[in-house]
Amino acid sequence: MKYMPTTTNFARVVVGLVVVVAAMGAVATPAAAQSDQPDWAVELFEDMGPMVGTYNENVDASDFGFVAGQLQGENVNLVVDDPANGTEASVSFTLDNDLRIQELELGTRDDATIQMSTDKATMDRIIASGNPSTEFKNAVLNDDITISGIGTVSQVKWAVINIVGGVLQGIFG
Amino acid sequence: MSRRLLPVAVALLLVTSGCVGLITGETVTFEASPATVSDSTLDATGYELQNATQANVTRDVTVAGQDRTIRLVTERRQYTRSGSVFGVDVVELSRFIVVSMPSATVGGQTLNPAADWANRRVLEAVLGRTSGTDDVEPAGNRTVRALGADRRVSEFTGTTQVAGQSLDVRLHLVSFEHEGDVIIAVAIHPENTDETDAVDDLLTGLRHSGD
Repeated sequence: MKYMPTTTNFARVVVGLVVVVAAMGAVATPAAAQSDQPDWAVELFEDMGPMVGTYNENVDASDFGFVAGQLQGENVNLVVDDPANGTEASVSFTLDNDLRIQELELGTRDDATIQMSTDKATMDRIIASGNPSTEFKNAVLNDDITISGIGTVSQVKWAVINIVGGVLQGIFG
Repeated sequence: MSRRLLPVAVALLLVTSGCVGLITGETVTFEASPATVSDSTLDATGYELQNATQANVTRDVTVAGQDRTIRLVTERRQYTRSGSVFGVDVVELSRFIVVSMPSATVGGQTLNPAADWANRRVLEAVLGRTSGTDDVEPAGNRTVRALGADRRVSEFTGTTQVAGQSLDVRLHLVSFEHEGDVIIAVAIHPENTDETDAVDDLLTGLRHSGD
């Protein structure tokens, strides 16, 4: 692997460093977890409770393919968008080594390592499903739930993971 | 480390690890070098280069509130050998595909998850939903010398559809890191055609220079 910078500009690096340091200092401040949630966020969270029980009883990490190894032990912020009214709800949880959902909470968590993003229709489908583990897995594999890293290295890592997944699936041309 | 010093440390890490682009706004590029089979090996095995492709894929990320682009450049070479199956001459009786992907190392951390995957996991990712190969079962392992080291080659059996008929096939797969890239080689051929020696020769004849 070769890292290939297209240009080098010391001044831009210095200015950029200042921007990054300032921005990361802001990021380090604990996030407001629940204050900005829309009304439907509480309903979503309450609906997820029973779904998580069914999910945890049936989830099989091997069904997630190569993504499984990247999700085990991660702290997740799940951001759900409702394009109908332009609002976002968030819940958070951890995934154990069997990809079972633990510590489900309303709102984001400060120690989250990855963010899952989806829309309300996808979450409604998962919650209503008799087999939420399969529905959740399909949503991840079909990119109805997209995953990105939180933190600089994690963001780059998940960008790489998402690209590598596509490359490998196309290996037979 | 205090919380106030952490952002400084991370920023310095980015600079020293080669990810200056995340700060300056440039695209951060990880580029693999192609892995190829030597001409002499192709002559000896009867395989021919069918195509050579470079995939250039980008993903946008937001780092410290700033939009940045991550670019991965991967290389793929496909070699084929002609023959006949079900009495019909086919151009691609056997296929040998070798892909090189950047390990994508930042601050000593390899970000490409395939770098430490077992062959079985690589196969699961490779087969995906588009390979057309079903009923895949493991069929043993062997060791082959490739790019300066002994490599564990895994074999699998499966079925695929050819001209509307089910055909038993055998796959050979090896994955390893070499000079900053992840090298994945996979061969597929009809089960009733013994290509093991040819596949071993193709692996031994691999050429790759990374870093």
